[in-house]
Amino acid sequence: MANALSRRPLLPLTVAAVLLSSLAWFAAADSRLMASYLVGFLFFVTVGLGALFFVLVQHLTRAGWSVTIRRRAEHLSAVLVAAPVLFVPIACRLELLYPWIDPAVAGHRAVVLNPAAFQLRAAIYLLLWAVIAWRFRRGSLTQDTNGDPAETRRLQSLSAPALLLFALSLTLAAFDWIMSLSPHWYSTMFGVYFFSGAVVGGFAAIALQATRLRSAEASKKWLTEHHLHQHGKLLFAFVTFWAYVGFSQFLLIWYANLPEETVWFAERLAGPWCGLTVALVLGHFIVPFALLLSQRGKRHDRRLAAVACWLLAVHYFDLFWLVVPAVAPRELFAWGDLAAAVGFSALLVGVLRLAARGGAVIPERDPRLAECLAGED
Amino acid sequence: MAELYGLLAEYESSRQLLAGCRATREAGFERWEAHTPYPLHGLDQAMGLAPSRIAIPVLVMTLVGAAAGFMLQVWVSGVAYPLVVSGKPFFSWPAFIPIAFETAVLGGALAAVAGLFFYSGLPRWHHPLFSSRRFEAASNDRFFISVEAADPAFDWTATRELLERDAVVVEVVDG
Repeated sequence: MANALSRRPLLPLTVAAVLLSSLAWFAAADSRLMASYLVGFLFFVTVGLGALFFVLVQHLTRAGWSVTIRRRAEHLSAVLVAAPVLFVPIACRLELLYPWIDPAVAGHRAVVLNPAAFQLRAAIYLLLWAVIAWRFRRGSLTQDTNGDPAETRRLQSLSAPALLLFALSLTLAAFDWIMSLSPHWYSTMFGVYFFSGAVVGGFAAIALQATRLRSAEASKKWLTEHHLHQHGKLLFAFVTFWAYVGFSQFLLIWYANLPEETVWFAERLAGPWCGLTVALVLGHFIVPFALLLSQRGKRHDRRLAAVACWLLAVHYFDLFWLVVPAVAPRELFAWGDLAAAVGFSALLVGVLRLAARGGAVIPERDPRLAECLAGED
Repeated sequence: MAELYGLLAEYESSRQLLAGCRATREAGFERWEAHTPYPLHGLDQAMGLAPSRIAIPVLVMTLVGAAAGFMLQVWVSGVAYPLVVSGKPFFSWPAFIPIAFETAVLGGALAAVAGLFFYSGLPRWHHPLFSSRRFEAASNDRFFISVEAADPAFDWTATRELLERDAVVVEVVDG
């Protein structure tokens, strides 16, 4: 069914294909460009993971309030199905990014950090996410046609093991893909930090779609101002959560002051990176916190759309800040950053538009739909 | 004779109450109130209430709490009793953030409670509505609207007729 979110998927897909294939071509011989590609890839995957987390939690908690919101998250999590193939350029050229490829650097870590094990683990994470995302979306779309409430029960019982696997795989993926860029550095909190950013990105993309749908008057019946408010509250909560986790990680490392831990922050507080770190704190926490603090910021379509766009941009910047100082601290910007940002965003939009062609615009035969429509605060 | 307080209308359901609220709001009253046994969704809109005034004092006191907590630590560890702790400078701002956060929450919470008392006109010993026996059901299973006679739009007959449209009982309350 066509709506504002499913029109013309070919245009963004073409843009993405051109940009990403040329970027992958050049990145195969240049570690700085491969870093750009990794940042874009992580952006693509984390937005999908944030959406998948939303879907899983709604089923786990038997949530009624979110039924009409859930469909956007289901479509968005479908980008995870496209993710495995996008990891291939990175998996083929590990030596450009990961210093542990040299066994002398890896040392005793070589048991875990070796190419074969790394590639195998990446394949497991990516396939796992693709299967979970596909299963939950398909279950919900099936219910659109057969209206069977048993579908809801099945997804509910699947959601608990799925969420456990999700948490474990996401944490390990953060360790593998980002933390191992600095193979001697470790932070047990890093997985949570990665998760909090992913949720901000995913929820921002869901909120942005909601405001796009609400530009059509008819959709305001099932995507009310109350539902918009829920999007705003979630964003507000997870922006704060991101800051909480980020600061906790910083405080513990600063406090203990162990050289092998502080080196990671020292890299990001040296030279021009210091300014970018301050910009990250301002842009990813202070500014959105202030904008989302009042009720108006959460309930107003235009304002929420602007904040959601802003959060997607700073989420991308957050990933850039995680990856680039570890790979090429002296090369702040490369043309690949722009190509990756535009390319992966276009791919995200294109895949999302394809996904949004499936099923109704809301889960119209969900047993908890009435509860959702009656919701008020 | 003591002044009369106003009229008290009793409703059996929240739906009736919301209808009564809309009618009362449209009639242009200012000094009136709705009473329900539990928080009622949609009541704010039906009564046409402006956004709560409590937000600004809470925000101000939160910022004051954060600043006070932060400055207290700066003063203690930098001025009053400087001690070297694990080789850190006296002004070690990251260590001050958690306590500044806690005092921010404390300031905001105290302001919210104090603001609630202030804007609700509490504490007070008595309210004229307590002279109505029926009003006791406001904490059980009935819904009420009270309109004060002091309201400029108030009229004993016209207001009573307005309330009787949705209410089951309308009674006069002594001052």
